Amino acid sequence: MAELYRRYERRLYRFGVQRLGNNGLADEMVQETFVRLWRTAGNFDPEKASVQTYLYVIARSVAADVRKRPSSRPLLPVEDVDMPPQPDTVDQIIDSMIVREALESLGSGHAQVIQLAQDEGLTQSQIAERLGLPLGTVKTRMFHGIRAMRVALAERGFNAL
Amino acid sequence: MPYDVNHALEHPDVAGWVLGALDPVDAQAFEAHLGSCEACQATVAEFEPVARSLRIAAPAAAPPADLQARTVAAVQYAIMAAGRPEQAQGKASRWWHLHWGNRFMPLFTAAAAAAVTAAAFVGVQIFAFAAPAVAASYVLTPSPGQVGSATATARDVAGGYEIQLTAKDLPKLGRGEFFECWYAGPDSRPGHPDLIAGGTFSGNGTFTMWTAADLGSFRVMEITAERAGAGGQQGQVILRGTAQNAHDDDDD
Repeated sequence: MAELYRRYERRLYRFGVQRLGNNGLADEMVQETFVRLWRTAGNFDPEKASVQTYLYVIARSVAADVRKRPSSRPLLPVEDVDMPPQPDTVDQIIDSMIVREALESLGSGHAQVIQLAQDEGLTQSQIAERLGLPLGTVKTRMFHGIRAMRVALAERGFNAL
Repeated sequence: MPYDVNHALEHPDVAGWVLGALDPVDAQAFEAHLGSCEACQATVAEFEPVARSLRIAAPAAAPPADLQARTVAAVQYAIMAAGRPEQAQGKASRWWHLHWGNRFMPLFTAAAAAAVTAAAFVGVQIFAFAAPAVAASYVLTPSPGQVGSATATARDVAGGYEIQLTAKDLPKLGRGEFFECWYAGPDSRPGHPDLIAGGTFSGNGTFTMWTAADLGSFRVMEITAERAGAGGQQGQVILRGTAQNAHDDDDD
């Protein structure tokens, strides 16, 4: 159980943040996912699905329930909340985790410029200014970062390449 | 044309191009170059799936350090709520083994198949799990006419207990009101309060409080809605629950 928890805690938490847009609700989702895992462990059939798939199916269901709770309603109307694209299938959920883990496996210099471009929408000159680096350094780090990312994704069996 | 790394290195803007991170002047220049450069077109074709994958990356959030302990506590609540026999406080690893070990055996089998560890399969890892030293657990239910629910755990810390309270669906507070947590002694009743204030909070969520109250004697946790300056417990009890696994049950 220790291994199971350690292996999936971070992934489930990130899925919760992605799905619910809130750290506290993600926290709640992780706890309830393991409670439901305990409750339904007797239904688990390793012939039919992997542990990972089983966990994400539960987590997706828990996230839907958490979102419906009155205490979970956002202060802003839903249309005003800028939520990222939501993965629907278990495969999409797993893909999103693989991409994040591949990105984190890069050297920090490479990952940093990619994240600033991707997550914050900065241009290369804005990234150079933010990091106090020459523009040329940002360009080459971004280039090598994308190359390394391609390799890291391939190593993890990411199938959308 | 295949991807030519040497040529690509002469045009590092290809990465900024696929990420949409080039400055306008550079984007314009690279676009003009791209139209006539097959090598760069090949590199773009190689890099674009990577850029697309980045758009679906899960957030970089890290779980809080105490989430594991709270998750274990949440499962404990579930087991207690299911009316399962409780194990004595202080024997958490045995409890953990009994309640999780057998139930998760199919999962461990699959985990082992996935080459997690042989130790996990035989259950050795179950004992390695750092089960928290929960001194008492509470499941709080609403008083008649009230709504909401809460769970809480008390853990031994130096000089008292750290209380982790998770409240859900509590009623909306009025202006100037807040929720207050109390520990009630065995003889506490309206008009003859035997209460220790345990902390205040507002709204639903998970809260951490500390108390030096003797939870073996002050076994009942109550949640009320109070107003600043009211003094003592003035509001009606919204939720109430009795400590389970408190120290005085240790001998069973």
